[in-house]
Amino acid sequence: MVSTDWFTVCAAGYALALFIFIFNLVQKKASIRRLGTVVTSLAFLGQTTGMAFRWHEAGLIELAAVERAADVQLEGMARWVVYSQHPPWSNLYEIMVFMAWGIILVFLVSEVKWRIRFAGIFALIIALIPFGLVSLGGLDGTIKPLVPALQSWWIMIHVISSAVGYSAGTMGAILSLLYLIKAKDKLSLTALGGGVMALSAFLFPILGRGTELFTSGQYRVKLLGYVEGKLEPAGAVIDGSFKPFYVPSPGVGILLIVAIVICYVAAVVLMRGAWAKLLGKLQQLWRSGPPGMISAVVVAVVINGLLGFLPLLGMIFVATRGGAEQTSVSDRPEGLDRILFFAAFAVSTATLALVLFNAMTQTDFQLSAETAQRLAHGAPAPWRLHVLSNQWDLALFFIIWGGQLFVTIAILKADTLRTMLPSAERLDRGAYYTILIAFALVAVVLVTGALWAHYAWGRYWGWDPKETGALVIWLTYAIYLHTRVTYGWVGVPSAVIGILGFFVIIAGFLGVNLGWFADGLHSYGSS
Amino acid sequence: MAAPKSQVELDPEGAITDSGGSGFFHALHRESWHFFCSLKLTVVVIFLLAAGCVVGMFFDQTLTLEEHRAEWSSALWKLRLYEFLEFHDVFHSWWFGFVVLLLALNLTACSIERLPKIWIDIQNPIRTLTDQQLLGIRYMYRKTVSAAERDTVIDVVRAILKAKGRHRSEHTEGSSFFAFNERHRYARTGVYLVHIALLMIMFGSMATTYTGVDGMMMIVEGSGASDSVRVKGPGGFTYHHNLDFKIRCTDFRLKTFVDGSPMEFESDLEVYDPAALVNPVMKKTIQVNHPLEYKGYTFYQASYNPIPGDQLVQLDICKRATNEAELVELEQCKADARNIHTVAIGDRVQMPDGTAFVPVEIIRQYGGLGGAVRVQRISADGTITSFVVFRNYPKFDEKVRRGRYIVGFRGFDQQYATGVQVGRVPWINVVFAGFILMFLGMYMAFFMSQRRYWARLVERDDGSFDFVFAGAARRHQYAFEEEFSKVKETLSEVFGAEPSVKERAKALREQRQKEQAARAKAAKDQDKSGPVDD
Repeated sequence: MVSTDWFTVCAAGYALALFIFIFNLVQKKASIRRLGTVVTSLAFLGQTTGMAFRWHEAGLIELAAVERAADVQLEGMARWVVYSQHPPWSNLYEIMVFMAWGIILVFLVSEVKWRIRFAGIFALIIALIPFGLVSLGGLDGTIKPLVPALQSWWIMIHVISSAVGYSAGTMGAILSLLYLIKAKDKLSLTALGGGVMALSAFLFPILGRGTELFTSGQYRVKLLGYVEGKLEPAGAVIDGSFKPFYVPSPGVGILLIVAIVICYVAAVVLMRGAWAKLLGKLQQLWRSGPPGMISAVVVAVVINGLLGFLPLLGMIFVATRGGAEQTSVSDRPEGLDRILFFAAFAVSTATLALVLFNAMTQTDFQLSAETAQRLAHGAPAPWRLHVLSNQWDLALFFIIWGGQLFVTIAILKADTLRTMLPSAERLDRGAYYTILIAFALVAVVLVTGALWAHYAWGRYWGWDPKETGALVIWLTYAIYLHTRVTYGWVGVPSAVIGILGFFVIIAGFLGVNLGWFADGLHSYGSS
Repeated sequence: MAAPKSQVELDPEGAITDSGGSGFFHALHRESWHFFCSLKLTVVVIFLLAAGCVVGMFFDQTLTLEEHRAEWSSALWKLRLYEFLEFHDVFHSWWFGFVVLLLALNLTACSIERLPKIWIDIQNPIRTLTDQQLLGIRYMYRKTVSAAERDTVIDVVRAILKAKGRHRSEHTEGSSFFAFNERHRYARTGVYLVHIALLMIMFGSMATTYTGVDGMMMIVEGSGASDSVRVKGPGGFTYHHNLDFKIRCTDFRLKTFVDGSPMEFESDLEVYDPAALVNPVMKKTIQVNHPLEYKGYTFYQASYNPIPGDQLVQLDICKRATNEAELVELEQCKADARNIHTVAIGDRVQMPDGTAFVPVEIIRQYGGLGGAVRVQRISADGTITSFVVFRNYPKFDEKVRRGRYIVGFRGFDQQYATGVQVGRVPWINVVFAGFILMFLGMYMAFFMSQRRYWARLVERDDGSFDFVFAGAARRHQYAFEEEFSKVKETLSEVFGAEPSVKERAKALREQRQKEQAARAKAAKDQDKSGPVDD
C-alpha cells in the first residue's frame, strides 16, 4: 500500500516538527518556532494528499472487487459511485490516522489564532501515538472492501466531524492544563500535583482491572492472537461463553498497588486546600437548616461515590489538622508535600517501566500447549505480541504518566514554564472556544449518526454503547458550558472539567473498542 | 442566579419574577417554579443523565432479562437491587425516564420563564441608559465636551453607529441626545431554539416509542406471505405485531467478494394488501440503505440466514460443438442464463432428444479438486452412465468426456431467509425538524452575538455636556473588546483621550461635595421655612 508508507513519511515529518518545537523551548527564537510550524504544515499537507491518494487506492480496490464479483465493466456514474464510496476513514487504522490529522488541523488553526507555545508539542505527541501503533503492527492498514452498512454518504460528515470534534476537545483539555499551570494566583502547583495524583489513583485501578488486582495481587494482560492473520482476542469457549486468555506480568501487580496507595495519599495531602473548601461549603449547608442538612449529606455521598473515598479521607485529614486555617499551601510543594509528590511519581514511573520491561523481555507465555499452538500460527515475536495485546492500556498508562511528568517539570521549572506561556486569560479563552467547537461538532456527530442509522438500520437511536458514549461526551461539554454561564465557573473549575472531558472522550470513543463496555454495532475496531 | 442589580437592570431576563401573594400555596407555587426554572437543576440533571448513560453502557442492553438474571443471581440482594433499578433495560427504566422528564420540565419552565421576556426585550430594547444601568457596562467611552462640540458629537456618533447594525434609533429630549443601535438582536433566542429543539426531539422519541413499531421479520425466499413482526418489547420480552397486509419474498440474492465476505445482499419483496384492488400492490428490491416503504412502515434489508436442508445444484447443459458455426452457438448457450438448471439431487433434467441428466451426489471435496457433483446420464434407450463435473474446472467435461452434451457445474443455490427490519416511526419528522432547529439555534447562539451600542449626550448644570458612548456584547467578549477599542480610538482622536482614573475620581469627589452642600443647603432652607407654615 503506497499510502501507508507515505503516512510513515508524514509521521517522520511530525516527529521532526516535535523535535524543533522542543528545541524551541531552549532556543527561544521566533524563526525556529516558525520553522516548526512550517514543517508541521508540510507534513499535514503531505498527510492530506496521502489520504486523498488512499481514497483513490480504495476506489480502485472497490471497483476491482465489484467488477470481479459481478463480472461487469462499470461505466459512467455507476463507476464513479463505486469508486468514491470508500473514504479513507473506514477502519480503526484509518480512523486513528484521521484523528491525528484532525488534531494537527486544530493545532494549526490555534497556532494562527492564539500562538500558544506547548500546544504544538502536546498536539504532535498525541498525533504521533496512532502512527506509533501502526508501525508496531497493532492496526491493520490494508484496505478491504466496505461492508454494506458503511456504504453511505452520511459517514463522510459523521466521521469528519467526530475526528475534528474530538480533536478540538483534546486541544481544549491541553489548553486547560496549560491554564492550570499558568494561573498562579488561582491554583497552586501543589494542588495541581494533588489533582494529577488523584486522577492517577482513579485510573490506575481501572487499568489494573479493579478488584482483581487487589484480590490476586497480579497485573494481567489480556492476550491477543492471530486468527486467520487478524489480531483478535485470544481465548477459549468454556461453559458456553468466551473466556479470554491472560498473561501475568510479574511484579507489576504489587508495584501498581503501591503506586495507587501512594498516589491516593499524595492526592489527599496535596489537595488539602480543596478539601478545606469543600468541608467549609458542607458545613455552611449543614448549618442552614434541615433542607440544607439533607443536601449536604446528598452532596457528600454523591461526591464520595464518584471519587471513591478520596474526598472523605481528604476532609477527615483537614478536620484533624485543625480546619481551614491550617491548610494554606505554598505554590510549589515543599517538605513532606514534595517528598510525597516525587515518591508517587517515582513509583508510577517504576510501574510503567516494569510493564514495558516485562513486555520486552517476555519470551514464554506459559500457556497450554493447545493455546500456544493456536497462537503460533503467524504470530510475531512474543514481546511484540505482548505490547500489541497491551497497546491501549499502555497508551493510557503513558498519557497518565505524561501528565505526571509535565506537572513534575512544572513544579521544578515553574517560573521558566510560566513565562513561556501566554496569559492565563488567553489560555482560558482558547480552551473555551475549542470546547465550544467540540460541543457543536459532537452535536453534528450525533445527528448525522442518527440520520445514517435511520436510513441503514431503520432506527435513529438505539442506545448502542458507542452512540451513548458520544452522547455522554456531548453532555459533558454541555455541563462545561452551562456551569460557565450558571455558576460563573470560568478559570479553574471549568479547566478541570475540560481536562476530564478528554478522559470522557477516551472512554466514550475508545472504551467501546477496548471492551470496557458492552459490545455494540460500531465494530470496525474489534481488536 | 444572583446577578448584581445593575446587570439585572440591563438584562431583565436573568431575574425570576415572583408571582406575588402569600400563603402556603403561593409559596409552594413560587418555590416549585423557582426550582424548575433554576439553571442549577439543569446542571444536576445533565450530570445525572450522563451518569445514567454510563450505567447503561456497562450492562449489555441487548441481552434479555433472563440472561441478566442468570448473571446477577450470585446474591439475592444484588438480584433484587438490579431488578428494582432495571439495569437490563436502563434506557427505559423508571429512573432514567424520571431524569429525562425532569430535564423536559426544566427546559419547558426555563423557556416559559425567559423567552417571553427576551422577546419583549428584543422588540423594545433599552434605548436610553440611566446612570444605574451604566454601572453594568464594561465597554465605555466617557468625556465631558463643551456645548460647541455638541453637533460634532452627534455627527460622529451617527457616522459610527451607521456601520454597527440595522436597528438604529435616536431621539432628543431638550438639549439631550440619545442614540442606539444593535446587531444580531435575535441571536439571543438561539439558546432557547436549541432547548425547544431538544424538547421536540425528546417528545418525538417518546411518541415514537409508544406508537411506533421496531421489529424483525424473517421471510424464507419463495415461501408464502407473512404478516407477523417479531418485536422486542420492554423488559426484553418479544411479542408479535401483526401487519394488516402481507409481505412475500420472491428471491434473495447474496453477492460475495472473492474471499467470501458479503458484498451486497438484496431481496425482491412483494406486498399483498387485502384492501388493495390489485395484488401484489407493490414490488421492490430492497438493499441495505435502500428500503421499501408502505403504509407508514419501512422495510430495511438487515440480515440473512441460510436455510438448512436440501441443497440445489446449478448445472448448465449445452450442445457440443462439432464445427465452427456450432462453436458460436455454444458460446451463446453458455452465456444464456436460461440454460442453467437449478435442480435438487435426484431430479432429472430432460433434453429435447430424450437424454436426461440427474445429479445424484454432492461431493464437497473431490480429492483436493474442490466441490463436485456426480451426474447420471440416462439416454433415450435407458442406458445409464455416470460421471463427475467440477466447480473449479468448468472446461473439464468439455475436454475429457465425449458425448452430445457438455455439462458444467455452476455451483450450489443455497436457500435463504431474508432478515427484514420493520420500522414505523410516525413522529420521525418532529425529531428531524428538531435536529434542524437545533443546528439553527446553535449557530445563532455560538456564532452570532448580540451587540449593542448606546450614545448619550446630556447637558450638565454648568452648560457642558456629558458624552457617553457605551457598548455591550452578549458573547465573544474578546472580539467585541477589539471592536470597541477601535471605536474608542476614533473617538479619542476626535475628542481627545478619556480622563484618567485620577481625574475622574477627582471630578466625582467634587460632584459629591457639591451635592452634599446642596443637600445641606436644602435642609437648612426647610428648617427655615418650617416654622413659617405654623
